[in-house]
Amino acid sequence: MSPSALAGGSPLNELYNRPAATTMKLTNFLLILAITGFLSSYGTWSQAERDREQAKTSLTGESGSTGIPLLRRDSTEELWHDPATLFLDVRSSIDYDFGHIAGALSLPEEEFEKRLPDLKPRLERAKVIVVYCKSVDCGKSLWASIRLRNEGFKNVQIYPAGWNEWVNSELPTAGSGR
Amino acid sequence: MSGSTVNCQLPAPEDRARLFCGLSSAFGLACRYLLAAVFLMAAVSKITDLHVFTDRLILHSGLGYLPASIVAAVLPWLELTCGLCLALGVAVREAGAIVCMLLVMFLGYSVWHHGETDCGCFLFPHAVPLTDTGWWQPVRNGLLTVCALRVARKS
Repeated sequence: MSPSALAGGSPLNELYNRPAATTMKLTNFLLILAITGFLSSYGTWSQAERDREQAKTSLTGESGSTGIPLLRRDSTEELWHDPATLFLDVRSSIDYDFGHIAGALSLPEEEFEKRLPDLKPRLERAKVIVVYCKSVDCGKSLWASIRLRNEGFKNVQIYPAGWNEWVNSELPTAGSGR
Repeated sequence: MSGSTVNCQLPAPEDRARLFCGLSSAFGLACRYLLAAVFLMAAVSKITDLHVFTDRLILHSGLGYLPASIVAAVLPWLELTCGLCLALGVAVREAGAIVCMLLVMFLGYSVWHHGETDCGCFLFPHAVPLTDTGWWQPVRNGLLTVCALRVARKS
């Protein structure tokens, strides 16, 4: 016996006797697809926007924990052309003597306390101080930048790719080995 | 024993029909909510980290860059819409039919790529390392397909 044969006035029976929908509606399909289309367009757009923002900030991003700006090569090169920018090389003196970014001053991280007083007047005149080391693997530039900021120099920026990228890009250098 | 009676009568045909109908309705409802939960979870897992999902599709699905990118852009939102329809009871049969179609494709894919690692789509991708799921994936998709067929046919 089919449920529909169960006649009666109770709500339960009405539920059983309800005719089942036999056809699917095309409009419902279209509605689902339209909503999906709208959402995926929005998702793709917002993803692209986020990527664009990320690319913009990574061009002149900042070190996550300290807030010190990180520079990419093209931004560093732009700053190098500005005479008000001071480049600080925090590698060892031997490395600096062998080769450094043209115009950079040497401030080896291990001699920081000793050399800083002599460099202070130059650092105070600089509009931007760019600190660099050997490469991204070298943490000296970050530590030196933090110490400089603690000394009151708020205009410090880091060039993380450092000497290796600069010299490989055949940008202006100085030193005995070049 | 002579004086005692044991009630072992079968229920009347009307009652049986009622029982069957009630169980069938409950099963349909359970299928609908199960699918809603699974698809909403799958959608949210992907949408919260679309990059990871896109990378996984491009690197592991073997679909090629463009098709994988299109699938990555559309699939999570289709799952979300269908999941919401099933959960809210709007356009249930149509959503069930789309879900069924998706599951048949997933089933085909999981059989074709049997032995490969799970896509991690049903839980948050970061939380679950890729693991070899053996036959679990095709079995899971097969069971969900049965549920989707039930929802698409009789909701």
